Amino acid sequence: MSAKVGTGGEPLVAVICEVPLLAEALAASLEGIAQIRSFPAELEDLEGLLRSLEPDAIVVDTEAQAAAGAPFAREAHVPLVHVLIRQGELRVLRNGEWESRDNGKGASPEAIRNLLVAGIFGRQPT
Amino acid sequence: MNRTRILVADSVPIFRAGVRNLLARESDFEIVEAADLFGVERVIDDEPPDIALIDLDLPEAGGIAAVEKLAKQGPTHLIVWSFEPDRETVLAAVRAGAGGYLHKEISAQGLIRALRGVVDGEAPLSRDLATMMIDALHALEKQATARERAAVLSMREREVLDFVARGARNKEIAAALFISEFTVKRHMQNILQKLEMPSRRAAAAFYWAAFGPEESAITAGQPA
Repeated sequence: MSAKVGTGGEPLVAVICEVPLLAEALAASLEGIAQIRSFPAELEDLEGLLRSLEPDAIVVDTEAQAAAGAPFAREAHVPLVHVLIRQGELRVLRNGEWESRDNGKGASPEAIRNLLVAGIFGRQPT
Repeated sequence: MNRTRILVADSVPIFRAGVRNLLARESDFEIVEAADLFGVERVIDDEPPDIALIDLDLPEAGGIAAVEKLAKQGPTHLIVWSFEPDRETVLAAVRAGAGGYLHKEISAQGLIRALRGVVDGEAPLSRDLATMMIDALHALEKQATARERAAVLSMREREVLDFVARGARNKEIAAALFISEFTVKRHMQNILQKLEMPSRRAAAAFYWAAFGPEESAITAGQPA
């Protein structure tokens, strides 16, 4: 897919998180690559928000928001990354199915960045 | 201007990076990081931080063990943080020497406020954690009182009561302790009399409050 150009010409990543420091960590690792818009995990109607925002990628850290974000991600063909912070794991929604991504490094900001970059710019990580 | 040196000690890279990025925008903070206790000790040897934010699950032995060790070493303000802490954990952290406890779900601004508060002599503890800690202190006080009362029981009586608290019948207790059912009944009468309890159920509840499942007289082999 081609990245939608946001303000500043960078793709837009929506981060919906229970742990606000996740957005802080991603903001640093995606600097110069993508813009971040973060929202609290408690918000209602995530799907509506995503349809309005039209992000190029989505990151969530709760099971509920992973489920709520999946329909939009499938329809818009944008990567959806679920960060399981407590377990140190990452899942990515690919072709309508959740896949675990174990790169041996756990859920680091760099691992999340790499998944997002691959999803936004069209190459899958190895 | 003197910058406050903050050590974030956490094995999860997201938290280290999150705090680093957050505090990098603030001119009054300087940040150092460690992923385990060994790293923490290296940082402290190099230049002790003003505040250390320590993960409850910090490798190798956990955040509370780390706080216990570090509290003896210097004036660094030690703050533990974790997901969903329970009251015993918060209390254990404070007793080990922590000056506060934070939720890992804390907002960015909340964390900055908490850290600046520490510099001003405050103890960072959210309202729910403060309530938890007060509850834990009350529970400890109740437990201490119950244990004092339980001291009137003999070792054998405590063993019997331990079985009762676990729901055992007289016949089962008798078999386990190699005594007659009649003797168990006698012990039970003495227990109720000594504790001034109206019933077997009340005595069992009292025993549970005093010792809980971890300090069984059967396994401990020691009287109260």
